[in-house]
Amino acid sequence: MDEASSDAGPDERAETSWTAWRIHRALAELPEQERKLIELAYWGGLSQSEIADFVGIPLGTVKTRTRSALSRLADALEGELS
Amino acid sequence: MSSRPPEFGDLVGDDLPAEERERLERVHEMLIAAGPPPELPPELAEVPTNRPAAEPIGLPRRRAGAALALAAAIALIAFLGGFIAGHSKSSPFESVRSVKLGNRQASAVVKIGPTDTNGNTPMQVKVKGLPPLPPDDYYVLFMTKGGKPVVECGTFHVRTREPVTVPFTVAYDPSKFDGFQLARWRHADHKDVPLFNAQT
Repeated sequence: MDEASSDAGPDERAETSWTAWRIHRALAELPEQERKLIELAYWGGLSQSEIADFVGIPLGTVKTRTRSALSRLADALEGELS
Repeated sequence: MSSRPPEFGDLVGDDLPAEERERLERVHEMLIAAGPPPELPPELAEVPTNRPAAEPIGLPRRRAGAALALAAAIALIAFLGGFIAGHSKSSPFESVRSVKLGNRQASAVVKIGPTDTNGNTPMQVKVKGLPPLPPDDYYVLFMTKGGKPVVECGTFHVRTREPVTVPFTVAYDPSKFDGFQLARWRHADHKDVPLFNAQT
């Protein structure tokens, strides 16, 4: 239950928390149709083809939008990536 | 619900330039490390499980669970509403330390309360002179290390020029940080714009 705090010190936990907060906020700014795909892929446990079935769009569109979403996130998190 | 992370190659294919691929892969790793947002996105509640046969049995249970959760939420809101109303009338904020940020025109005074036995630290922030922001912008208070914002204490709006008092509670030990920063979250470019810093 407390795995996250077993090894990380306060500094590391604070940095991790900060980064997660930035990611979640950047995610919230994505267009709805892209944000949903990221959430389903990363936290819904669905494969790309499962997402296509679930959302009802072609697999190619899922891949295009997912790539676009990751690119937007990279832009938004530019300072965190260096 | 499964939490297996997706394969990066499945997400982006293999036709990206190397530099772009590396950039997106870093975001991929950050998403995995960050985990889901604190509030479960509504669409994830609709994701099919690997056991469709269980669905007809699960639905009534979900409804019963939802009803219980709703009842608990109503009771909690009623309790907290009464508590906050009574508390705010009778108890001044007990602070062990205060920090002032700003200048003569605009300022924020952060009062830090005693950390409770669970490790939560209450704060009260009084701001005055801060200009109202556009609807999608807001103010953010951070705790800092070396002047760099590290953790967020909370966010707030200012709608008038009148002084505003906002309560926050943080799960971090303020003594581990060396200052505060008040910033403006600017929706137009999704940037935090630092306004004031103060060392503690």
